[in-house]
Amino acid sequence: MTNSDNDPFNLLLPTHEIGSMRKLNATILALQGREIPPDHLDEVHYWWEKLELGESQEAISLLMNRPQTNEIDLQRWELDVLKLRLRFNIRLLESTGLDIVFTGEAWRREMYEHAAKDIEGIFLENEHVRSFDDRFYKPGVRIKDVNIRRKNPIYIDEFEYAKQVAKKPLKLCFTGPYTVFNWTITPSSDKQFLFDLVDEVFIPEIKESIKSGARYITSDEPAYTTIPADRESYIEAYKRLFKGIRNELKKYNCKFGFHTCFSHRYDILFEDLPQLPWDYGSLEYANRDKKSLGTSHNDRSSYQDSLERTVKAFNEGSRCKLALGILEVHADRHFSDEEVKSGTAQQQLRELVRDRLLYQAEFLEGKLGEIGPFLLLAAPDCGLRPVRKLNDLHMMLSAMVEGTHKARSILQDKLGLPTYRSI
Amino acid sequence: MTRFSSILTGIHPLSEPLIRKIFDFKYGRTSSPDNVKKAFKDDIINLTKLLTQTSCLAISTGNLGWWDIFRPFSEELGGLSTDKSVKNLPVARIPLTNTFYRQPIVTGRIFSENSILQNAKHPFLDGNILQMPFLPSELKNNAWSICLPGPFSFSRAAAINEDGDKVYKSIDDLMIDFSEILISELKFLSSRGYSHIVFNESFIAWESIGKDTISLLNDLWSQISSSTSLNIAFHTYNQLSSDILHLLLNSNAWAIGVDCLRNNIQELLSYDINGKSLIAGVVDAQSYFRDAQGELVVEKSDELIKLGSELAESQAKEIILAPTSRLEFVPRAVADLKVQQLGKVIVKLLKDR
Repeated sequence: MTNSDNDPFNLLLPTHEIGSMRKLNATILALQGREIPPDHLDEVHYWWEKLELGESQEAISLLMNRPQTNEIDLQRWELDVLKLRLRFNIRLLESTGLDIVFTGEAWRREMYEHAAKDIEGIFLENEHVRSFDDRFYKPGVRIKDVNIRRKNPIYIDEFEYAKQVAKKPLKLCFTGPYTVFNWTITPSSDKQFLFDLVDEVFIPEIKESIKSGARYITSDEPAYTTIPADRESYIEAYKRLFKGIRNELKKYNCKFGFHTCFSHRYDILFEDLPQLPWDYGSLEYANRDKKSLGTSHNDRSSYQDSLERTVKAFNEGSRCKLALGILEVHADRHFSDEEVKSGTAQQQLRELVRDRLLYQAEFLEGKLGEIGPFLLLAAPDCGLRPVRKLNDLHMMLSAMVEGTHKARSILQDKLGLPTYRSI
Repeated sequence: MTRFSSILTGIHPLSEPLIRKIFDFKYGRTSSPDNVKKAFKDDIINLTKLLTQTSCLAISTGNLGWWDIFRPFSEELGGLSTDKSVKNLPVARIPLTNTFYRQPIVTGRIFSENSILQNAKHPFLDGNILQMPFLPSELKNNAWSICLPGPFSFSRAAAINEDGDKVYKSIDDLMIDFSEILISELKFLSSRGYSHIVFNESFIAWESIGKDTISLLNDLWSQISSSTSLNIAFHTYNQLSSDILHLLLNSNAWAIGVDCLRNNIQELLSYDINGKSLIAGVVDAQSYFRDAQGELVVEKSDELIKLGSELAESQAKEIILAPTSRLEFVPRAVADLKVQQLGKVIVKLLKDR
């Protein structure tokens, strides 16, 4: 069956990104009420011009004129700064050529904290704990004998504004219920807590998001497979969630997917795929792949097991499209500034992305025929927040898109694949 | 009469003031690392003071400054890739947790010409990672402990790339070589005045292990323990299979570490501990509650005292109460409270006996 409509989801190797990105420095400092040094203002000028965002002086004027006394004015101003940041993120992502864009979590400080602050029954600590290296987050703690309830909509305001500024199809990404459950400190393995999160927080939030216009929704579940013993609870939680939102998903033809990363146990995830009606998923892989070019099994051996499992899951009834990460989130660190400036870095990444996708697509075509490559999406391993410079982020995503276009073109020539096809 | 004491078994969390200073430096709000240095020193001094007040068998600096338990080895060991900087190495999840480490990538036979720990630099303080000249001089007479990665955990945490494959036919071969490295590190640690070495073998609970590997590990642990006069402990987290429990019980180490909340205590007590000391994980290192007013709710001391009394019925030479794993999963204030609570429980247990 060939689908001629132009739903990016049915495209051969649609490109999207995953989550958070580094925030424009001037907006961070402005919101903190701190002085913005000239180099950060220059950065605003640079991007406003590059992305044709309008008069940079207007943006700078907003950032520099924080209301000093009136609380209502301050709140309005803060919202305006957040809107400015969000519009910037979306334009930046759109300018890389991605097929589906996101807000880059412009309004969120940290993925867990953003969800937990609006959930009654979770106490957000004031102290940080380490994630790794010099990265830290504030954990939440289950409050004893207090029922779980959504205090406020969590993501809808951000999505509503993003919808107004996005020119490309827009994705909504939220921190999934299992991850909120798993990252909340609680003395007992209280599964009812997980189910309460699904029923009282996530089902209402997702339903409202869909009604608000979200058509691609990702549940970010980095904690999935962290504790294999929780597997059945995870499945049960998502069965409840799908049951709670299935009418809306169907009515609005909304695609619902997941993301997870840095797991030792992807085997569990693949085994579980046929049990849940996921439309798509994305996983981190480039992190463990070789950095040299090539499209043979030996060159790209890190993907092989998961491609075999993708085939198995498909044969068992799963119709979940998968993005097996093709862009490492720390890729910027493998290049010098000179290599970025000269375009060498972008060229190398473009070729690496192309080869990773060609290997994946040809593997699946070999096992499943024409439909195989349409089971793939093209995405980085994870959110690109670790990328230290926005220029590098732009370069990396542009390289990913270009490499994907190249792979798409080679596959169409070689295998005669259509541009769009539903599965 | 059973002796009771306590010990830290892994990296301790950094305090909030120190983390804030690290943020300031990292995000360019200050260009000088001096404030971070001062806060690091304060953190280490405060921790050692706390440990001296809580019946700690051997005090430690809580491995503060180690970004992860493998890090000095990932940075300094020959035969590993650093890919320009260790910060470019892949990030891998520590199983069952929401924390990560930089994965050592084995590219050839691992080796070290000098002591790894002697070479390893502290990320912020001047000099060696173990060098703490700012510590109060009266602490020098204390027994000192340090936590290191065990041979099994290091070998499972690492990845062997295609070049490494040419040298190591199996992960177990890597485990053998890493044990040799550890043995040479013990000589250095002895010269630096350490008396108790806790090898973290947390990865042992997270996969099923074949009999050949268990037998090999038994030999390697035995070689490590026999190579030194230091007190050697092999410490585990989480629920263990009976094969692993037997491996621990059969070892000739000074002490074995077991999570007493996630393992059957009665089963543990039914075994012959062979005169070893038992590092008993009795305080849950990963959890606590808040009540509706936001007050911290930790384990009840009565329950810990009861558990300690039960453990005293074992044939263990000494019961060393500890958190079930490293305390880095909870904020520093909570971690310190748990350490204090262990101290109070020990005082009560000693009084009751």
